[in-house]
Amino acid sequence: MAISDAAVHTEHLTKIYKDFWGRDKVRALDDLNLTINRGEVFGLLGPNGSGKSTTIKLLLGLIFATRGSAHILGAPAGSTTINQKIGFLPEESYLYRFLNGEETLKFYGRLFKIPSRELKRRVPELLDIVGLDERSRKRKLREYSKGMARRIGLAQALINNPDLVLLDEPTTGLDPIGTREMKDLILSLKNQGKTVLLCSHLLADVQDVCDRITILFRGKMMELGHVKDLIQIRDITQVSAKGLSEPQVQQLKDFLAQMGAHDAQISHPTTTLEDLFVKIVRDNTPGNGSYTSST
Amino acid sequence: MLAYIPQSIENNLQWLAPAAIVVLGLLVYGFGDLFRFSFRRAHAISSVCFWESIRRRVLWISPLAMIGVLLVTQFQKSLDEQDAIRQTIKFTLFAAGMVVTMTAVILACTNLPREIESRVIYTVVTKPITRLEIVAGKVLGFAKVSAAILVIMGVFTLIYIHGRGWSLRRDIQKRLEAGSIDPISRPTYEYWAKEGLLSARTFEKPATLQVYAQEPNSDTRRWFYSEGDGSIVVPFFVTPELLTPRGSPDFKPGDAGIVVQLMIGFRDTDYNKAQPEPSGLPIGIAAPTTTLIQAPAKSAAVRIEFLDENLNSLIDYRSINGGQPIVLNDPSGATPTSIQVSQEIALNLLRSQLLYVSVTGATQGVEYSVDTRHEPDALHNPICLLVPGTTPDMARIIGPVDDRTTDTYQPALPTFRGRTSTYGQQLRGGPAKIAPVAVYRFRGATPRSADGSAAFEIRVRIEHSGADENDIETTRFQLIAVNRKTGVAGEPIYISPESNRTTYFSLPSFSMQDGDFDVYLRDLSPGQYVNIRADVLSLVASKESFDFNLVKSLSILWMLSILVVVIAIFCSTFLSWPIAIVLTLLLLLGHWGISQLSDSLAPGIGNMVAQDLFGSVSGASQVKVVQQSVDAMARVLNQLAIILPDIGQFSAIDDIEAGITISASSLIAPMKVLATFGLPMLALSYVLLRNKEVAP
Repeated sequence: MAISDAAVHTEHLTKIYKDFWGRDKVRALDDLNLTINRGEVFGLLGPNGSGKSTTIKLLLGLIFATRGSAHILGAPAGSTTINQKIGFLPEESYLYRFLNGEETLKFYGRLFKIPSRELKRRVPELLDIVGLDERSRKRKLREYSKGMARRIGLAQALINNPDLVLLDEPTTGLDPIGTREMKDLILSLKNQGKTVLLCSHLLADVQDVCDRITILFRGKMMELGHVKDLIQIRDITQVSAKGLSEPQVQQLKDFLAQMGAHDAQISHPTTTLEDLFVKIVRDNTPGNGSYTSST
Repeated sequence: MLAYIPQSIENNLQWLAPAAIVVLGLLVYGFGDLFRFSFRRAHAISSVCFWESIRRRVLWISPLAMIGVLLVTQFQKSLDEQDAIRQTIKFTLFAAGMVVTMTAVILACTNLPREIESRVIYTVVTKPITRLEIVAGKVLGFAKVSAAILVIMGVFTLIYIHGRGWSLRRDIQKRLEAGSIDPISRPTYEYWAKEGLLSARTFEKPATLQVYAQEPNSDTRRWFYSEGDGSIVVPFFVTPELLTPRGSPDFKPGDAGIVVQLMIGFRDTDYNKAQPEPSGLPIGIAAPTTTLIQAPAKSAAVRIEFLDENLNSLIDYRSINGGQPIVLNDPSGATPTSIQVSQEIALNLLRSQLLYVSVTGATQGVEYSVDTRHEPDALHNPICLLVPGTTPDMARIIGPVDDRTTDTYQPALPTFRGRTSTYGQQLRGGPAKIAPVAVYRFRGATPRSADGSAAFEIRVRIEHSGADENDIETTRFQLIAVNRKTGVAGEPIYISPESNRTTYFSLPSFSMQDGDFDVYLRDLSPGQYVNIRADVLSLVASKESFDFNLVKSLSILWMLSILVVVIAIFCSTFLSWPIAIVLTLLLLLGHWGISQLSDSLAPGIGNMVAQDLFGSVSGASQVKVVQQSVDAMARVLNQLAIILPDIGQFSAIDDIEAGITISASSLIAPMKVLATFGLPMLALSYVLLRNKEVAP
């Protein structure tokens, strides 16, 4: 695939942090070769210190590569021109704490040279999307809870209607409803044809929304592929059926034994805890409306 | 490395270095960012900086400064009402300057490091904003904060000073009505009561000051008194080449010495006959009496002395002609008199490239004259220098320096001086016919007068010798304005100035029409000496609103704050904020600090240090090492001083405090510093920030 066709393309991308004397101190990222297609949701996984944030920082030009190259939407990473098409949500909401929600979005909007009239329309719309109510919008960010800060952070990342959204630990600090809404938003962005690069160590989040993932460990890429391919256990077959009695279940086990299967397990499927929590909250919310946080 | 910059580059370093930085940093390296510079994005950054400062209550520092000013002014001790208002202006503007500068240093030094540390910078630099826009936006933002502080302080200053001025003026009026002001001071107080204490005037200063024995008349001959009450000085340039005799390639500078040729006339005068006993002090030192050394004679004598470019003695008269007076025999001054000066003295003249030959009369009861026609032939000038050659026609003639009034060479005319004093020159008081006259020459100084008179101000220091029984308490000046082209003289006016206090007076303006006129000043008070300089007399060319002058003063302070902000941001791009504050102050005060060393960095300092360390041992390797090292260090410091900003150019207080209109040049000077230092600093800040990894 040509560089210009990919949303993100890296070749031998390496970052080595040096000490005061210029000696190698930490190899944070080692020879990363990665291509993210336009329109996909891509997950960057790995434990703490695996190189996820370093990759994001390199892609955004916050730090410079020791070796290799990175391109975003066909342009060299860090180029101010290409930043026009990028939205970035850092792992914590690094925003001006003396501004309120609306002022924050207007400020970032002006950096994109969005016309004032357009900003007047877009700011309330975004604040609605991320679930910040009228009162919260007028409060200084220093008074925001962690969840509210993540929401305003997400809003600033989307202020320019970006083609590529980089989300660093997007669900950190969010409650389960917020987490679900974040995931829904990611899928919504995907449906709009946008590319999302999701960086997280919460596997469940990634599993739910990502088309493809890569797993980094100690700066090296360990796995790369589609989620369903990667999580599939090919030598295990799971049987699910409704309306079977206990004798029928026993008959099925016997049949499987005759087929040569050993240690066969047949059990009732379960939903995730997160799904259950969401169902309970939604079922108990008057009018069955969506839940928004306004702490 | 700086010590070995070629001379041509070194001479223009103050322009070349900034231009190179701006061209390389912005036009070459940052061309792309410069091309896509958006004022809107820079303005967004500046707004954030501004609102951050406002919401962190930075402006609260202004009322604190105001309280400080109010407290300090309660304890001020002033000479008079005018002095009181001047002190108040000084305090308030000093406080404003201090507050705005310190705020700018702290805000600008801490801003960028704090944004990097808190990682707010992540969400900014990942937007389509260039580092140039970030730097420019921050400078703009903090300039807005400074402007806000200065507006608050300015409004306070305006209200407070007007209130104080009104209060003092009311007191003056009450005292005048009560008659409690002494008669000598009354005219000054009446002027203050009429004109107010807050003023902003533009002055025209005299181009030259001459002190003659007699009022100039239509001929070109001018007179000076003997024995230190008068002298003439003529400027010359001397170089080793000029002092090298002609006729042999083996001659070295000064080999044949130098000859001083004088064409000075003289005549008897009654001036000194009524003078008191001699003071015994050497010529050239302020002495309230003159020396009576001999009776008037058919011949007269003079003494010559060489002065350096600052008019300090270079070669004393005792080293010339064996310390004996030089006798003049022709009263008309048409016959030259020559004095041979030794080889050793000739070499010493090279210590100052520009030097003055000073001639002082040495015969009591005689006044001396020189012809002040412009004489292109150097040999016919009142004073010229000759370097003898192997034959008389090989002599090298050194004429006075060009006076630069025409395209062709025109030798500088002699300057007639009074007795040298600590405060300038002394003008002896005496009866109108024989008292010396100080002639202030104004060029292109057309006064703006609506009522046929031109306003002047004079401020002199008056000394009473106490030796003259006719010495009277009150000093009386006679002043006359004389047009130089037409010779038309105005009516004389008489004033009674007070020592060291400005006296306000007016002269008829009809003799000043074309702006080229003289003002003759005579002290009519026997036994008194008036200390004068060229700048003690001023023509009030125009008046301006004090409020507008204050705005100009605050503008200069604002420009200073912008310079501070730029330097602070530059330092904060690569240093932590505490170190950035220190470096900012060093860069700001570096030029001033080096200028304080002045003499210690003069050429030859290495030799002096080496001699202090090793005595008279010469040629030893360690002596050379020390000498060259110190010389190199001195040169580097001098070059640094050229590059570093001269904050002395941000003169915001001196003029307004003295009631003088802040001139356009006073506003342009800080702009030049901003252009030659601020702009390169901005370019460097951009280059550094662009290459900085902002993720810690």
